[in-house]
Amino acid sequence: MHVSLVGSFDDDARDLKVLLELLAEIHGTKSVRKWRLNCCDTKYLGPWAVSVLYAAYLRAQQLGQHPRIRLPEGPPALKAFCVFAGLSSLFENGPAPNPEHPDCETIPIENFTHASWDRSNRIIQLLKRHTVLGAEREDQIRSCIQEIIQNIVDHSNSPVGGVMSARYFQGSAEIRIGIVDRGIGIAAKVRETSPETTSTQGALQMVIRGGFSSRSRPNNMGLGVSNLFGLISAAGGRIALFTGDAFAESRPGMNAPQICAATSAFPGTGIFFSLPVLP
Amino acid sequence: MNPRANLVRIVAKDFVDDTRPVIESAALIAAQAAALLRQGSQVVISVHGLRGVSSSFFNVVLAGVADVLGPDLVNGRFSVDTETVTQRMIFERSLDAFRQPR
Repeated sequence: MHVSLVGSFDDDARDLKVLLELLAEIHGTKSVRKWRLNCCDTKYLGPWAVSVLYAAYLRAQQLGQHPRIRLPEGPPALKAFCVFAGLSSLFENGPAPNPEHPDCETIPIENFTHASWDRSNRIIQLLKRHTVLGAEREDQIRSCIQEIIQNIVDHSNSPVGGVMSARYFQGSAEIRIGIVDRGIGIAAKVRETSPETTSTQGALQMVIRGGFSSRSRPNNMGLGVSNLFGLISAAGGRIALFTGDAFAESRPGMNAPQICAATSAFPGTGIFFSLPVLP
Repeated sequence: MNPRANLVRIVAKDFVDDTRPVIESAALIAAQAAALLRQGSQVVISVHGLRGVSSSFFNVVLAGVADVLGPDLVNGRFSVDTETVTQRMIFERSLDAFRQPR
């Protein structure tokens, strides 16, 4: 199976939808079937797309699919990003990433299985190398990451754990973060204790509103996703959450998160957000 | 709070191991708080200096406190001293959720 990613895959919900459509066959196959993903003609890959690709790669390895990903051949900034994000090292035996490099504006992509306090350290260190980060903004960023990671650990049943990618954009003064799992998805988890929930969109409404929990731990209150949307909205950021056959999006100017059906199902949950990082 | 009761301040940061799960330190703090409350102390948990406190952290802490005080957690013997707006928002949402009938 050969799939090509041509064009730009920016960090927004529209481009993520396109990406998921292109990856639909890869995402849908669970058999031992080799696949090749060709990104030679990709003009832009951001941390949101990268987190999806790496999660697909990890899952494919587990399934014995011997995945191969060919990275973009240009432009130079994109090739540099692939090195700094660790993609060259992971997919093409290329050079290892150097987070201390002065041109590095990204973290090496991470795979995690625990929700430890230090999970957000690399992102904060990245930001502090490039800008002034106040205590309030640091706390917002760390809390957003922690809410997502704890949800993955508690609820996702993801066979690859979670994947996190992040990049700082000096021009727009923002940090963009993609965190993805390949678990059962939000709807399936909601249905474990609320079987009358018939749609993924309905499940998303419940978790964004807050107060619902699968009680995978006795004191879960079901506030993680709700807190996340609230924090990002209050900070003037934007977020897109893809799970199963639906997605939710919130951007500045929206009165409330928008929940829609997705054209291609996502086999797990991906949460993608950006936060302003103004000195 | 009753000024006559022994007031103990728990500094949450003292229980944090960066490499360990967040809810592990929350459980340690909850156990400490519960033990002190059972002894009759008043307890303040300070999250000053902590960054990235999540709802799960507060849920575990509040569950431990609720075991001693019941659902009416903030009754004069227990409080949380937050530093950032984010911490305050997350804590108050968890507290509201605990107070809801289940």
